[in-house]
Amino acid sequence: MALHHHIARHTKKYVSHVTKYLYERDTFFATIAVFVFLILLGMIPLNFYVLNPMKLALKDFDFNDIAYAKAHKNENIKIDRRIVIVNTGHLDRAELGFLIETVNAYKPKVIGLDIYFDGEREPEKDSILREAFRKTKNLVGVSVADTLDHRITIRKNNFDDVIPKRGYANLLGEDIGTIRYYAPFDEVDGKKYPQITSAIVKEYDHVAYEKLEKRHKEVESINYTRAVNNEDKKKYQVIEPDVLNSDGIDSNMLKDKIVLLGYINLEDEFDIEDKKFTPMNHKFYGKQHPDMFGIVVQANIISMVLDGNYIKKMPKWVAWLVAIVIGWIHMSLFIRYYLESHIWFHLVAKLAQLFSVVFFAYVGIFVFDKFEVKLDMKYTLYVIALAVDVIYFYEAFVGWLHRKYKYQTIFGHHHNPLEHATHHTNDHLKHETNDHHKHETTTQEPTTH
Amino acid sequence: MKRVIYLFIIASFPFVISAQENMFVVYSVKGTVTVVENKVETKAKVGTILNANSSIKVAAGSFATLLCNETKMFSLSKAGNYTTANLADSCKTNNSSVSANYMKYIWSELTKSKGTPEKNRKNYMANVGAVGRGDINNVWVDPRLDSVNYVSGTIPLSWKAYTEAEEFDFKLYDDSKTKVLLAKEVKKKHVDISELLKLLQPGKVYYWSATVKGEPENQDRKYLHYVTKDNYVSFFNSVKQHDAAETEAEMNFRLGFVLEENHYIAEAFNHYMKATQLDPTNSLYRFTFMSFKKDFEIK
Repeated sequence: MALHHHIARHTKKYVSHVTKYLYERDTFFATIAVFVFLILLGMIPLNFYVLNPMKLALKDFDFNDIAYAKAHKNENIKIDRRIVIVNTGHLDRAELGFLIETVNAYKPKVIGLDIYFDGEREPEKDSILREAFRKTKNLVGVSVADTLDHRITIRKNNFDDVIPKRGYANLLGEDIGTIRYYAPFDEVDGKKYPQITSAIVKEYDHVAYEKLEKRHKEVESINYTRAVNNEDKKKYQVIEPDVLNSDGIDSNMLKDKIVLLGYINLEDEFDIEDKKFTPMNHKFYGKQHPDMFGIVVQANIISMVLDGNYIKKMPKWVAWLVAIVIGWIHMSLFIRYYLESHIWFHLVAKLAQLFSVVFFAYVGIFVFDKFEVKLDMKYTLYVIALAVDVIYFYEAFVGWLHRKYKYQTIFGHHHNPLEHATHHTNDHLKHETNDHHKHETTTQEPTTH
Repeated sequence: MKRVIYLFIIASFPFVISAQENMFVVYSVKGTVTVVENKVETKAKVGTILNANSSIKVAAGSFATLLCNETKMFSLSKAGNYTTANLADSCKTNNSSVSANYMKYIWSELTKSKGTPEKNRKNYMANVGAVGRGDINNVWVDPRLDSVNYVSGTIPLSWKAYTEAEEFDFKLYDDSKTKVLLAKEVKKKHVDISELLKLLQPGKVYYWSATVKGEPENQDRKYLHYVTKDNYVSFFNSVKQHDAAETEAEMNFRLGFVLEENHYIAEAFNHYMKATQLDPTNSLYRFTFMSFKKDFEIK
């Protein structure tokens, strides 16, 4: 036999493993049963994973995090020269005042101050800082947003009168959770109040700001592109205050740029003050160290908004549709092995599940990397994982329908031990017969018990 | 004709791109670092752009971090004068795709060895377990190799790593412990002395260190003395003399032991081997020789 015939015959044979039961009524119903099961699980108001270590570990998990952690997404991205971070370290209020004046002497377009000054301190130092704020017209300061009875309020501060341009620095995320989202604007006392990055972008690039406004999104996903760490990643220029004070920077370094003043410590990797967990963390599951200083998170948001490089999300209905189609195909394959080669059923199901997780996670990462579109493949993966267990439940259910109402089912022979034995003994013979055989199996008379 | 010109332009486009000059920007500076441009030397500042005719001077104990084409970052920590042409190699970026990296990760996870701390404790000791005071590094050198007297032959200068590191920075220093004579990246946990011979001079003292790649430099320097043949012969003759009667095998075993004690590792190896060859039935000789090879990682 010619090789191509040989290949074609085998391909057809293996494709038939998937397609043989694809259009059976039971395949459709079993697939629907998976979704019913999934929806019922979702409706349970209790968190059953309360003591499940696996679930707890993966609670904050997103497959797309692998794109950063292991597949090195954005590794060769250029440094963003529009933004410069100046480390404020542990300077006191007077020193900060002098630093702001020094930075402003280099004529940056905007200065974003990511430090909140809670209460009054030494009067002489406070007044130096106050004077620096008053003189720096292009300064955007930080407010703290508090949530009280589902209402956002802005905490009063004694420097409010000298910092007219302000924004809240709050980011969205669970306590000790990954920061994936932020709210570009929120409503405070019936007025739109910006997040600090939105306020900074407004001063720097009005077009980008209007584009952000027109999106009308309450919550935006942060598209992380650049990291700054004490290893080899420095995708934003970071300047230490002593370098700035000793005239150690080029005169054009800060001119017409966004200068972010905030705390960053590249000397000590164990310093976690204002350090957040982000999807760029090398370790994307389980226990880990926070990986990115808050000021760098804000810088990433600004880069995203300036570039209009927002993360697009697959609509939920597409996610469900993909889950239905993929789940249906898997169900067809699983039923084929369940009925015809039961001895291989669990092995094939486990291999198919493993392959599917690897493959669909890859598809998600690929699309995220190339098109900045986040595919939500979790429903698909849930369906594939649940399908195996649901087959057993479905078989029992149709068995009952079969006995009670003579419901016609391809699982019919499984309820008669004798027939079951005959069916599986003849498996190898059935493979040799023609394609019509399956119809014989499916239309056989049910046996009453 | 126009078409021909267009075709020529399009065809030469890739060459134009590849011939583009690299752009270097000073990212950070520590110590005395200067930029020389049109024979004018100025202090290097953060944000200084180096053009094709510029060079950067790094004084001893100083360093500069440069950014090439706004993408690739590298540091110059060795004192010297660097032209932008010399630095072109540092601009190469790793172009591996996200898909390839993902597949590599999946494969490494699928083939990762399984185990638990109870069953394989050595695989789970990758931590120091105490606070560090001073320089902590993830490389451990057997105390036997703390000092090596070398005359001829070869032995490996070996180390162990507390982490799963695969790449190491090996450095050979002169007797001042600061001047680096050789710096090389190695993917094994040893460097044979024979690989260093062209840099060594008999009678001189050297130091060496190994560091996990990417970690701060290991400050723990190990001693390597290239002993002259005359000095060795006189030492050897002094230890060879022995009043008690002994067989040739016994003498070689004794010499092997004494030479090992005095850090003549390559020479000790030869005598242990000779003792084993002369009396292959002696289990003490065989066992000692095997242990010696294992301790010094001699294959």
